[in-house]
Amino acid sequence: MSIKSIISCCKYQLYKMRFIPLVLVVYVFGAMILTAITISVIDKVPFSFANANAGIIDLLMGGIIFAFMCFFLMTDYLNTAAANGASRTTACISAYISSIICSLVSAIEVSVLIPIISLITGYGETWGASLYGYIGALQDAGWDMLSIRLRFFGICLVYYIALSTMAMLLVSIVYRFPKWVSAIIIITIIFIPTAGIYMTLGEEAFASFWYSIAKLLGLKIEHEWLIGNALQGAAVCIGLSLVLLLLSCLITRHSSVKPLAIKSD
Amino acid sequence: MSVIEVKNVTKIYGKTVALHDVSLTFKENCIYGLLGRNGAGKSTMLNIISGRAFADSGEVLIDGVSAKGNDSALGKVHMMGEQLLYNPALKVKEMFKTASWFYPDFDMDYALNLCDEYKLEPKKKLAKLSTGYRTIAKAVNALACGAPIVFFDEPVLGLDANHRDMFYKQLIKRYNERPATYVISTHLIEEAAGLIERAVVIKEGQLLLDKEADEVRSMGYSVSGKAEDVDSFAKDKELMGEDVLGGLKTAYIKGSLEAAELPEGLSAEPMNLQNIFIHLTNS
Repeated sequence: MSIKSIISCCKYQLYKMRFIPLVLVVYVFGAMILTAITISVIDKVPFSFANANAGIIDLLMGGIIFAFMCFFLMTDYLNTAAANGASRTTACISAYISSIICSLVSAIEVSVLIPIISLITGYGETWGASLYGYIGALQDAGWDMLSIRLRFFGICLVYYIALSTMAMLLVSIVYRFPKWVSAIIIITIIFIPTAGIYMTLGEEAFASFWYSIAKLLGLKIEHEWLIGNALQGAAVCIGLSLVLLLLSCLITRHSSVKPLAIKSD
Repeated sequence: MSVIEVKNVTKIYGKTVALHDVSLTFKENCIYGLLGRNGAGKSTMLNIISGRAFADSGEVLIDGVSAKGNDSALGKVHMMGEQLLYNPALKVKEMFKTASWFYPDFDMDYALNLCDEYKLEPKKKLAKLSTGYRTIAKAVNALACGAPIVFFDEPVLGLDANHRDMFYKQLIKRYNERPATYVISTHLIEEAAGLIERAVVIKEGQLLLDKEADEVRSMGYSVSGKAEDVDSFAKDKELMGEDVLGGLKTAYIKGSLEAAELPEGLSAEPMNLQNIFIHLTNS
């Protein structure tokens, strides 16, 4: 691993990700307009941006970043590095750095877009960030608007980083192992915390498991805390992303290079 | 200095031993021909040296430093493999640009000039190129990268005769302008024979030969004539192989021929690299 190679890898990865900010803006406004049109058609009410519920934007943006990272890393993760004399560890670390930069840009973007959208729709809350406290509750607790926006930005940033690194781990598993092994691992990862616990240990254990997760992430839990612990959530997300990075590095450490199939071949 | 030392490298895929305890050295500024039949282990060796695959045992040193996971060592090597590792959605020029971020001596002007010569469109996506032009794009990238060690694994795959000729000429020209260690792994031995300074032959995962090309050429000669005359001449000599066509026979004999010893009715010729390779790897 060398700084020079990490910089080269990051340059390439960021070059490939350069359209993300534009895609996100188009997506946010496109989704808003489409939602407003759909609601006006279905409910037979006059078109109004107030009908576009933009509260889900921060969550959906996380989903888009996750999906994009999966797609991007699937095509450009280790192969370009290997084609140019960079090691697997370098590729992993630079993908992590690039995902932080991408998350940073996305979090800035969503932090700027939300106030603009709230001006258009008249609705300023977002579902994701409200899990750490509604704007009203924070204002009641003495937070000024700038601090609330910065807090929102921070929450988005760490969640986007964690989601990007999850994508990195999934791609590492798919890259390293045969398809059937990857499928078993990924299904197990998804199954255990969802239906797995519910079916084997029962509803109470399932609820208690997710309650513990919410507590660990410092989320505001309805009727219990008005304001969540965002710092704790940030620490958990960063810690989680570092663990996922380490796992990705270990998984791909001895992985042979697998070229992509070209459709015309 | 850019020297590669392969030390006791073994690689096994399932039940197949791709490389068995192979040790050899690639010295700097030399054009190597890495020869072997299909499945001999040539690509495996190049993949291991360039960090694309990992040896089960043994090690690879580049300038005395282990290449395993070492960017500064691996950064001295560029491999033009049979398969495309770049994202096929990249344009040719984007591939060059990417390579230039990793190889500081990448010569973009040279690469674009070569594109002109080959009529390769730099704005075309790699996925949209024909197999031949994709090979050309990879070859141009490898020639322009400026790495001190460049591997060409089947560099003329899918190229027509004109493009193959252009590639060989370009390679020699580039080598003269900017000496580097070039390792060419190819099945078109006769075509590349003029370039090769040193030949490395691998057979069934083991190193069979590592010699200067001229030395290899002088390893044997062929004698042709009537079958009985050839048999009588060759009976006390070490045979590498023989071809029979009707009543005529050609014997491939190890060693060098003294002009005086050839009986009348027989003709002798020095063996070319391809013939020697065929008979070495057939035996």
